[in-house]
Amino acid sequence: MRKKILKTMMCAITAMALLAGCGSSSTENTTGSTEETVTEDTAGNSETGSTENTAEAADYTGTKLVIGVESGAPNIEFFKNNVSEFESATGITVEWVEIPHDNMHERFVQEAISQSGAIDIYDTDQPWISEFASKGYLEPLGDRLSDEDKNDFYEAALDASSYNGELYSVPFFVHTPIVFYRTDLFEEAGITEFPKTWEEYEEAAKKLTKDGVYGTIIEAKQAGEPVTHLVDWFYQAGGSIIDADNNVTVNSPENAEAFNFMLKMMYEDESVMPGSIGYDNADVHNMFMQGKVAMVKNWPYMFAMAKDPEQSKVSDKFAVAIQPAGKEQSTAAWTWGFGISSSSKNKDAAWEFIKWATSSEKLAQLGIANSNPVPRTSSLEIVTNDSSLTEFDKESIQVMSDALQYAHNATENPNFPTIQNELSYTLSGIMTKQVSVEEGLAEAEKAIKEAIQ
Amino acid sequence: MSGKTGSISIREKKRRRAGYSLIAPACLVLLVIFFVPLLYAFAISISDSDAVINNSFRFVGLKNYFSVMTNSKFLAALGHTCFFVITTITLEFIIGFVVALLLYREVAGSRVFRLIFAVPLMVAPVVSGLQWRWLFADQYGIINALLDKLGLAAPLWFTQVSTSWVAIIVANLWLATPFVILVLLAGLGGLSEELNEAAAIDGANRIQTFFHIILPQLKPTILIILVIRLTDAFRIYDLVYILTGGGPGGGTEVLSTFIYKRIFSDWKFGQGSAAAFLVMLIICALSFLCNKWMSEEE
Repeated sequence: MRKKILKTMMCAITAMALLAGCGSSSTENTTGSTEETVTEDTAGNSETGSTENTAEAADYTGTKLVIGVESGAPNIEFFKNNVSEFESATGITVEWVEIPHDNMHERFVQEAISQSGAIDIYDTDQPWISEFASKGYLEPLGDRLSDEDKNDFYEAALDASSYNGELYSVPFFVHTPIVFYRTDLFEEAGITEFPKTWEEYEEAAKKLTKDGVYGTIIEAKQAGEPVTHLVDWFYQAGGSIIDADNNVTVNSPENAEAFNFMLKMMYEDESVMPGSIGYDNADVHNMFMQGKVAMVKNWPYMFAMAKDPEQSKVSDKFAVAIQPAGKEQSTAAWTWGFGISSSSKNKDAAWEFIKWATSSEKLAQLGIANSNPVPRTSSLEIVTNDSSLTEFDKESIQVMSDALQYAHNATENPNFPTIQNELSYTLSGIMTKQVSVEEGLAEAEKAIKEAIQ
Repeated sequence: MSGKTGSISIREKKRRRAGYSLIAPACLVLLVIFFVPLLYAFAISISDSDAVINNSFRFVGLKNYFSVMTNSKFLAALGHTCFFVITTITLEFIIGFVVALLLYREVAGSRVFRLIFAVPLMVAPVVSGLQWRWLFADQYGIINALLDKLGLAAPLWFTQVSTSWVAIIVANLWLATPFVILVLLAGLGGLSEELNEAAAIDGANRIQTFFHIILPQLKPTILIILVIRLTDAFRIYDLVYILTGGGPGGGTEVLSTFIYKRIFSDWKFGQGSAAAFLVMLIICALSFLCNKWMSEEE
């Protein structure tokens, strides 16, 4: 008998240990609903019932807003540092729920499904907008944002925050990958102008590969981030992932051409760092700042790091440029923004926060503080007139903002995370030559069709 | 058991009742935090995924189980996980025994070493994953720098499936072996010296003593390690996620990464839970076999 109990216990422990890892969706769900935040509705405007935006008249004193954000993100740090300004003006208190990026999606999904209203505002990463909006987890914001504001934001920025023509998140940060390149090495190699086309880019990469420095990096770790760069390659080759009628168009000659070009640079020209196929963006910024590579495609976040002499060996030897064009001059636009949870009980107060956070001045201050591109025309004006920034900063911010002219929304389909996941196999499989380009794309098309039906 | 209960005195019965009432709250908590989610997860696994998203339930029988079991990615992940579990546990035991026997002999500095070996246990897998990713980095990683110094061709670790596995297993050994060492040390500490002495008098050499005297006595310890490490190794997630992301080309995809992606990027809650349940059944079966093995030997 004792042994039997021991056995059952062993099995129980085993199962419990297992579920702790795998079944977290269920356990978290049960706790999620008990976590409901109690909010005092002194003003009695808990619902969106008040159609008119009588912001001045509304009294939010005592209202508590819970905002789910990415922990450690420089943008969020900026808002956290400045939020007292908003709190004292409105009487609203803001509570931050900070989640590492890797866990954010999972945490938000659980919160959205449980509909507990525990989080009022989501810090939305681009691919989640259409995913959440299609399931009704985000509040439509099109009517709330004034026409004046709508005209002030870049078109790509609002477009990338929309699903089926409706706005679901107001962007505070819009970016598209740009090229960081070493001005000193360009000079040495006698390249006077930054490559405008793929062919020029390839030539430059060959010339720049010498003395242990490689021309460029093509990321291919099996992960989500490298796929975002693959999307740029596809777009530039004239290809796509899904067409306007929602047909999967992965297996196209254009996409094959993109892969063949990448493979050529990697294996024939040998101008790409050989370990690249195991890299993601963290490796890219390390390699660039260590001076081991002449040109890299990466996100604007790297600018502030690369110009910091404490962490970068190339702090005064680089510049940024718009990505070279293939058949098309194009990249994908990605936004970070604030969206209101449809189960929030403080939607009007939440909108007050969003209005404050995405105002022209705040976004300009954010751009200046982090040397980031800004998503509003009027903010860019403030930035270019700011005296605290150097000419180099201003020029670079201008390039990052200009790059958005060519940027498109890649994540209109609500199944983008699935697509991204499938493409991560394709990218890694093809670039490590485990599958041919034809096989890889055919497999991806089949898998994506199956997964999103 | 039923035969015995009749003969229990009233006093004894009372004593037992008091005992049960004392452990009842703990059992209740266990029931809530363990069985409720378990049943809930099972319910999800036999429901349509879209219904789950809308907070409802639509019975679909074993459909999710069939679609998981015929999914080539699940089968590949199962194969990879089994390969990983067998390899890592074998190596953990070999290294664990060598180190534990060395430390047990009270060689100079063995106390310090015991402490040092415990350090990896305090490091979160995510942190150690990142640390190993830097160590294995091809352009500036210390491992490749050392291999270069030795005149060996340093591989680009994360560009091939085979070398990716080497990296994952080495990182995991660093994380997990200390547990094996510490438990083995505790087990060794509980053994009586008399048997060893008797064996030595009878002329057994060290290897014979180890296999015929020490090992059989350590069986319960080994069993504990085996059960805990089996469940742990089957659940490997963080290291793979950070080191390779399951790549290249899906070559290091394991069950946990498969389940995670099914649920959180594909929203296939039903299939994800079905996969999790299948994994649980496998682990239950394995621990059952371990137990059986122990009771047979006794």
